[in-house]
Amino acid sequence: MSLEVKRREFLAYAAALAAGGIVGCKSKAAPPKPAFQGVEPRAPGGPRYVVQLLLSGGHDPVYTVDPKTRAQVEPDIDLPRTNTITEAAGLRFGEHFAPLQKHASSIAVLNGVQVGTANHDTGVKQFVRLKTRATDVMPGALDIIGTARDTQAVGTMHLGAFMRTSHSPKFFGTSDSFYFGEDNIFDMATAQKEAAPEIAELLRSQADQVRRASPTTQDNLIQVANLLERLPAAPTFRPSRVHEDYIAQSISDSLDRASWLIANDLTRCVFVDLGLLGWDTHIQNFERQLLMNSAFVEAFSRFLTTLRTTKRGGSSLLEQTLVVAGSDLGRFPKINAMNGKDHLPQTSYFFAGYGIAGGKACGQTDRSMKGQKMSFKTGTTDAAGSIPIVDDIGTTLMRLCKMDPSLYGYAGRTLECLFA
Amino acid sequence: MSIRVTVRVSLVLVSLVLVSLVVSACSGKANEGSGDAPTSISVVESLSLLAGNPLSDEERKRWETKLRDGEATADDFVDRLVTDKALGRIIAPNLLFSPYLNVKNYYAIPSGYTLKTFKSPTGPIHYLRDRCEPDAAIVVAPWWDLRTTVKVCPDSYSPERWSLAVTEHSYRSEMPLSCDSQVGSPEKEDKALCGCGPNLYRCLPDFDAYRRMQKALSSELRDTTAHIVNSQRPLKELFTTEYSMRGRDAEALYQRRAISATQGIDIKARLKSISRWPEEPFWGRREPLFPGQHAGVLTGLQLMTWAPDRRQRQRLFMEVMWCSGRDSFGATTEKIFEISNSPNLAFTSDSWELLANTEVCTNCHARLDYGFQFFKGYPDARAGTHFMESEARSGNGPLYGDNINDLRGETLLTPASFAQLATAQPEFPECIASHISNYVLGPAAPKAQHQEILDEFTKKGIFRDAFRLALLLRFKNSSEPNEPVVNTSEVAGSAHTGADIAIDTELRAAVDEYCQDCHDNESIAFGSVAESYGKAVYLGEATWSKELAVRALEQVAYLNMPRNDALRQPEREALVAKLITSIWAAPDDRKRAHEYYSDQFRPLPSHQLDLALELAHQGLSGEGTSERTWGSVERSIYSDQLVVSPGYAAVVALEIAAACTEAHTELPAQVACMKKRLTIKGLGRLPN
Repeated sequence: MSLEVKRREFLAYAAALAAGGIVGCKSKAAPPKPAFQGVEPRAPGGPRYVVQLLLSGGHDPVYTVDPKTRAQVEPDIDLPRTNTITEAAGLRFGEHFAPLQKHASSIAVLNGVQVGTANHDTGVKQFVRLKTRATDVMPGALDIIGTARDTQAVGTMHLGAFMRTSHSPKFFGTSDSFYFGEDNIFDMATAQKEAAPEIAELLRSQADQVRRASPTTQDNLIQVANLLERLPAAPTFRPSRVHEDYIAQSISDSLDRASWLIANDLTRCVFVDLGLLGWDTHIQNFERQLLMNSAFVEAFSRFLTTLRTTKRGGSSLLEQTLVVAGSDLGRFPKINAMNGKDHLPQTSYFFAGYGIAGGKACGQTDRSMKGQKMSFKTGTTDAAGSIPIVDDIGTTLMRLCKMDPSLYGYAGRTLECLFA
Repeated sequence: MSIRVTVRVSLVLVSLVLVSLVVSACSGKANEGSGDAPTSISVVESLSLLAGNPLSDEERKRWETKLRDGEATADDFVDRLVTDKALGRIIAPNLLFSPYLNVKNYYAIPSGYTLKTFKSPTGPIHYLRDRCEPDAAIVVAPWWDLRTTVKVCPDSYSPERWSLAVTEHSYRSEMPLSCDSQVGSPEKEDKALCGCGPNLYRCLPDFDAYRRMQKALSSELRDTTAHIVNSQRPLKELFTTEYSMRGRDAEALYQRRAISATQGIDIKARLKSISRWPEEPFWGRREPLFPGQHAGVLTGLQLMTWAPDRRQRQRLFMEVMWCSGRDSFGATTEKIFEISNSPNLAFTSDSWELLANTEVCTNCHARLDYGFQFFKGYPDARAGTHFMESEARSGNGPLYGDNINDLRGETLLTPASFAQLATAQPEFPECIASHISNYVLGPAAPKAQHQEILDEFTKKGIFRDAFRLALLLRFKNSSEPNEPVVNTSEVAGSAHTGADIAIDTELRAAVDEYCQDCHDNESIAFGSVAESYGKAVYLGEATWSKELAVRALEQVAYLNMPRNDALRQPEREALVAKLITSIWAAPDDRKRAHEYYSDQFRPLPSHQLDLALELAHQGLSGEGTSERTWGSVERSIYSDQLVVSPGYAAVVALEIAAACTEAHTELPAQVACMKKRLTIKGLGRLPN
């Protein structure tokens, strides 16, 4: 390109910039606050809140939501020592999940889900996106759902992030304090509450600056401003102190924080990373699963009770909240030389709340614990059906949230059997 | 490289100066720092931020003037930036190691070996588990001050104890269990087995010491990287040298491991040598107990024990050296059942070799499982933290690349030999060049420029030279017009009207060009995502189901396909736009699809968080880094993926609030301080 052309371009460029600057100068009055809370107002359809729980490492189905009797499995399949199976409202709980029987009428289970990986990094990455072959930069399923919000300050909050593959371009939240550091945005926002209004205003001002260049950046800055403005008015978060064990207490804290965020309408979605891979029980499967499941069941039961007993607008928060829980991968059904169980690219999910058929169990595993083809309409074994995969859960979640799955890369099938 | 673009650069700079004049004229002094910054910044400012070396306003203006007036060249300016220590201290370590640099290491220092203390009539007594009778306490000269003595409970001492028998611990394991591990520590035991050992060498006096030692782990990684980068040594040395840059705390941890490995031989001399080591970081040799034991930072304190098992550790090594191994997809329950009837896939060779040779699995496990044989002397981090000669393999072993058919060579089964062979493979320069190129130029940079950086690094192997070239290319790009942007929302195409998507001539041509190599007649017919799991599906049909089209669109949009990286960014964007138009007809649907597939919910790229936190404090009293330990997952994200997410913005904004309220007592001064700092350029990497 010749210098002459460059010079002409330069003159045009400089003139345009100067003109823009002058126009900007004339309209220098403080910009009005955006009338909306994010990039674009979208009336949320479906559940008012969505919660996704990662039991990280891989919960063992035979202790939790896919219990088996000895007669139902091959002789070398490991089963709990006592193997008490609790039946409630049409569901069967393994002995570690027995305390959840009181919530059975709100819970649905999906067994034998293929996740396509035996690797935690990839499994977590997929779990966040609820689709296979996910990449690091793909938005999470809740990031997508969180684009539609009304009075909530934030689209999606993440709690207790442990693996970097759970990070997405819309990430907003806390990480595990042992591994990443003790200072978190909630405590710091409280400590800086005097400065919060000023910071929020500055963030809004900067958001306005980038509204054309990067609407997503604009939305992100507005979400932070919203949260900083709303946090001081929220009641102080007081987690239950129930465990000496660090991981067990962190599970409790995270689920308490999730219900606090919902009860105060601070976010539409919450992603909770539980357990620091503590369900990854290559060694001492029974003991470690028991520790993790006990801590989880206690906190999850309290979480469900809080949502069930908190009413707003004529219905309980649980009725307004869709809960999706599962693991990044599953456990090999046979015991290894260290009394542990290795990885399996298959796991189970469970659901509760908005739109969910409580007491419904979909999907079965066979005598070797391998997932079976099923009817997506009835949830029963069907040789003409398909084995559910993680993409089907993402697709179903989008449908429950009244969003077109295909617009967000979900090409799975809808698990109608889970619908109320 | 010498860039002869002074005239063109001057034109751009003059235009920027004009803009800044207009902006400042509008804003006036009253609005100083009021956040009215433009959403692009001068190339001088952006390059200085990319190099971790933010310039003062005065220096920035001085360079802009010198460059404009031809008194300095781009080379002069870039040289000024890359010779600053910040490149090695902040940018390079975060660029190369962020997932492991800023995350605490759980296994390296078992926290269960941190002593507690109770007062007794005879003075303070240390213990690990339960208090003992004061009379029973034993007097010991502790390693942290051999001139003094302390008292310790008997079960917390156990000077003769070095290892555990498998039967002694409920962690049944095929690995030898050492006392200096999580399993051997009081944290994981069922009964008292190991203690602090002679001179309490295995223990720390308190949690302050634990925190200090934890810091020493990542400091060694950071400081060693900084030394190699700033002294312009070949970057491969970072992975091959026996030396490291470490202070006294880190040296103490090496000596502690040597004491464990030799079961106390020369313990006195080793402990005395700790006090002779400089307190501040010092470039010193790590004494090998076994020839070839050390391989740069791979066998350093932070990386070697960061992941518990050997396979995970090897994945980490391959990730930091080759940028590979982060994804693993295609496993099925049937396949796992088929290969793993006796499920112990890491411990017995008939299992890991089977895995490495099995279809699909081989894509990762040939590289990882044969790879970890070179490091076999370093145990699973749960079971031991020191090198065990008895565990090390002898003879030669192979290194594989993509799979079992991709043998790269054979060499001695030692970490040092592995590192020499691995850094000689093309993946090593490609990995380092892609880190630099993606961070400085962005993923949309012309392929030729990425190739220039790769050629530079391949030729010289010097990080700083490759980074310097990247900065110069960015400088050059700022003076040239951008490539035409595809208006992806206005791409023509037949609209989707029913269940199937018609593949028109244009789309067919693109599919044939980029996808046909794999998705040919041999491929399976697409039925559903589940049925096509990990398999190539046939794309030659005249119409596609919507599920297939959506799947293809997402795989192309998010860079999973085509696998050979054949598509340049503009072509990819055009193909994505074409697919969107073909799949959806309604304007609102197309808009949503563009948000997800084209824009990808992606905000502006951000600075490395460490740099953003430093910027928050720049110019304030007590200038320097944050004293806070932010629990922020953004610190573990590779620099090219860092964006102004809400989480990142919240951390930076709150750090600024804290820095300003700590530095100023009066509200007006605090507010002015925050206004100056909380700007879009303080948050994001803005375009020029």
